[in-house]
Amino acid sequence: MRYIIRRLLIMIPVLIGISVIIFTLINGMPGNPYSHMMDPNISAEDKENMLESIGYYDSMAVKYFKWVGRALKGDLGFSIRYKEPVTDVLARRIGNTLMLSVFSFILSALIAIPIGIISSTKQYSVFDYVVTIFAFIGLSIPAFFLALLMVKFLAFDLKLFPISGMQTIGRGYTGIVQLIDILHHMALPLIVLTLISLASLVRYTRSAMLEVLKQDYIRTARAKGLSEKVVIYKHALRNAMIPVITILSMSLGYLFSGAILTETVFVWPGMGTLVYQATLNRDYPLVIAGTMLFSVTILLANLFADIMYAVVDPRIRYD
Amino acid sequence: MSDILLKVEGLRTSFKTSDGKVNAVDDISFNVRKGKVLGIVGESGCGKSVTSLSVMRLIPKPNGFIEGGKIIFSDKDLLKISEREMRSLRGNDIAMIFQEPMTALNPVFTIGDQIGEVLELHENLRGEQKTEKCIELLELVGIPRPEKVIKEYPHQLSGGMRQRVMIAMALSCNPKLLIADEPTTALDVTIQAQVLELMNKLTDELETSVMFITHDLGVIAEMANDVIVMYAGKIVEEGDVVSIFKNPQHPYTIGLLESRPDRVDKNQRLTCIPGMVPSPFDMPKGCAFAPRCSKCMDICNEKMPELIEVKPGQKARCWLHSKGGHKE
Amino acid sequence: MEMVKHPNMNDKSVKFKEEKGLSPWTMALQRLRKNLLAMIGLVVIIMLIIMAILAPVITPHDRDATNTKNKFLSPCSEHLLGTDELGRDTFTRLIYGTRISLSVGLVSTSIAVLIGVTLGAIGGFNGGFIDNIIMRLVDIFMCFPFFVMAITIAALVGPSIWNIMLISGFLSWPRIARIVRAEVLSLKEREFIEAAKALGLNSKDIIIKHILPNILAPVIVYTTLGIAIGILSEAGLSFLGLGVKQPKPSWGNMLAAAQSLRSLRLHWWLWIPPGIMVFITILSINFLGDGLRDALDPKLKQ
Repeated sequence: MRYIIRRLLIMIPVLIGISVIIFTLINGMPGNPYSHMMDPNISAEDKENMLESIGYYDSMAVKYFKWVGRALKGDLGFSIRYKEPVTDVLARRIGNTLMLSVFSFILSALIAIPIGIISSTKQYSVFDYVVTIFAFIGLSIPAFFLALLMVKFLAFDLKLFPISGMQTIGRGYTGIVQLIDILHHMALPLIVLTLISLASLVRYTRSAMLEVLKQDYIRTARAKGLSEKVVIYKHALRNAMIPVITILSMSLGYLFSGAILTETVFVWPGMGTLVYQATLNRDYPLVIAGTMLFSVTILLANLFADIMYAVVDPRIRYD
Repeated sequence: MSDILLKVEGLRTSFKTSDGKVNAVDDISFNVRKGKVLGIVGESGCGKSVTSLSVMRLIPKPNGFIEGGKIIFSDKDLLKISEREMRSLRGNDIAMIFQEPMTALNPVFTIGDQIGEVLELHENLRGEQKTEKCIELLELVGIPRPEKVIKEYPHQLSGGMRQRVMIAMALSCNPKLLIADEPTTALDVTIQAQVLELMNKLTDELETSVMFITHDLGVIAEMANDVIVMYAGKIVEEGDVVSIFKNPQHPYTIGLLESRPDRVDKNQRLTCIPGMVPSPFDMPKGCAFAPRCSKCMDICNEKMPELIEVKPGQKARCWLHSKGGHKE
Repeated sequence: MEMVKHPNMNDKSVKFKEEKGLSPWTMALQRLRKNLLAMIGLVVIIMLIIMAILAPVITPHDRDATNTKNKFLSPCSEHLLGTDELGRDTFTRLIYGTRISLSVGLVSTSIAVLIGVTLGAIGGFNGGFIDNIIMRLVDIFMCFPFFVMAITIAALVGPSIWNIMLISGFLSWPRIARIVRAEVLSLKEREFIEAAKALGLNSKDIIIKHILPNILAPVIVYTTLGIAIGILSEAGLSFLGLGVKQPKPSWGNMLAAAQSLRSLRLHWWLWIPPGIMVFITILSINFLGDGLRDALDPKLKQ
């Protein structure tokens, strides 16, 4: 418990550092939110006034403290592009990203861990070689290129899946039909994200298991007369899961931000596309809030991973 | 024959490596008598641990394999029975204690879990009964507050305590044969003595036969009835403990005895055997010990001597005692 | 224990002792040579480098020569991989793209390694307040979502090849800093460093002469794998139009052709080849990096 509190205290300066850097960086962007506005009815003077009113000419420090003050009250500013509170814009998108990334997270863990275990127990077998090669391929292929290939071959050529978006536009599907429609749209991005994270997780599980399998206590377990099944799925797995669970917890941090390119390719209306578009539109409040949200998620996931590590490993608790 | 519990004949265990096959144990035969202790001595790498793991059939796969020989335990050839049958013997009739108490226990399970597992598997004990037996076993090996220790994890115990837990675990099913692979090497000297005494006492009480593996001749003198000395995968000398210590025949055994540090106080210079154990890839053509032997003769570099009876009950593998080897 | 050591101790260690002690580097090289995948990776990387250097020799076409009559030609004998929307030869641009993509990977990693090793070594060696500041900085950078930050900064500073190198380098130093710091911390306690201190060497000398050579192995492994990250981020950023600018060809900005749905569907020769090049390059780097890790750090070897 004291450990967790100490960890939380360390988090505070890190959090401040993150926010300062992100804030300074984004406010340093050239151009102003209205520089893309070509409405001839608005005079240059009016534009100046508008910029004045959103605090464009304040000094960086003033802007930062204003922002922090509001953020602590739950006000993340007003999106210039969407003309509504940033929190509302984010709230609309978070669900879509979570849906995609949580599904792929669960799916890849469910597939990768058993494959990694089997592969490690049959080291140097054909299965192990095939798994290793596929894992290397998955680690090396850029996610967005895999996404593009899927769109080209599965969506365009074979017409198995829709090309982009989250729902068929203009049909007004409801109920179960809508759900199926969404799942149909989700399939390709889900496959891409799952395959990519599958690869590294398989490798990780495999090497964690191999490391454990050569430990002395595995030999002890065998010497007790336990069956190979018990030796592997009880004695070895329990130990190998310690690093795997830690890695899984850490990867939770990338639930929001990990899919930015994949989302962009599939035009999936999630956080990634939102922040990317916001960057292009110079919608500062939205970019700052989005990036902060991503960073804080990673920070919290790392903390969670530390706690999980202490929970699953009995050696930590008493140190 | 009836007083022999384990009979190993012509055992040959090999490992596949990237540079070819290595015979870690090369044609070894020995007997373990009922209720007696057989000590196996040798430097590290001589194949003594591989011998013990072969008896357990726990040679690490896929690189290690038993090439040939017989391991007869209570009239059964352990190399012929099924894996399932072998499992029912392991931890039950044949139990093993390892060198590193620090790493031999699984760090994520409690002591109670790990001992209880054996009881559940071989004795079919459950619940209350299992816990009681665990506590009883821990008491037997002299662990204080056993009812507390069963809920603790290995890292909470000292090395000596962990080795006691290992002994409790090994003895939990009253095994007929206990294989102890350097059980005290990793422990402090005082703890070493305590653990040895405990093993001696318990195996006497339970009439367990023991295969005691060590590089420490002092330990052998205390524990063993019979001794075999191994060098480079082969037995170089065997006999009862008194003959081996009083009247060693093989130059290697003599060397080992002379290099014992406890001889220093007898005003004798501490000697050591020059050189190193030969690499398994680069075995001398003749006797494996020849390059380090002070009594090396021409024939020693040519041919490996046979293991022959030098005196009743004592055998040695040396040209000094073989026909054709006499030169002086 | 012996039975495990026995066969493993095997290969070289025993033999080498007799062949009068080869250096650990030679031994690592021996181990690497035996690793098939690593050798394949190495060969492919060398071929890519040769391709990048000899680009003008390999292809007869001019890199930027446009030809409005020959827009979107599909692959033929004249244009091995067809032509793009301006009638430029795709194969030629792919070959020249190797130069850009490889140099982005190399330069950005060098930046990361330079910053990471310096800060990591300083932090680990000095400890205390300086170390604390550096480690908090590492914590902060570790929390940034790499690609999101890269996009934001790229949008801020504008697309160019140098900016990509800098962005990728500045965002990826913390990992190497952490590795180096941990190594230095453990090295600091060892006798030979104590001895150097006792001899009155100053910190700078100790770091450069005694510590750096010892952290070379993890740094080499990291650098190899870091180059892959550099190439990947170039590809991603250029794909979004935030990276290398036309007319300079890079694999990433060639992939951007797929941003047009028409090209994505019909002109596969514009974007599949550069994608495959990125894939093959990263695969080879991963093969080699993995092999290097096994070879240089026998502790990790399975």
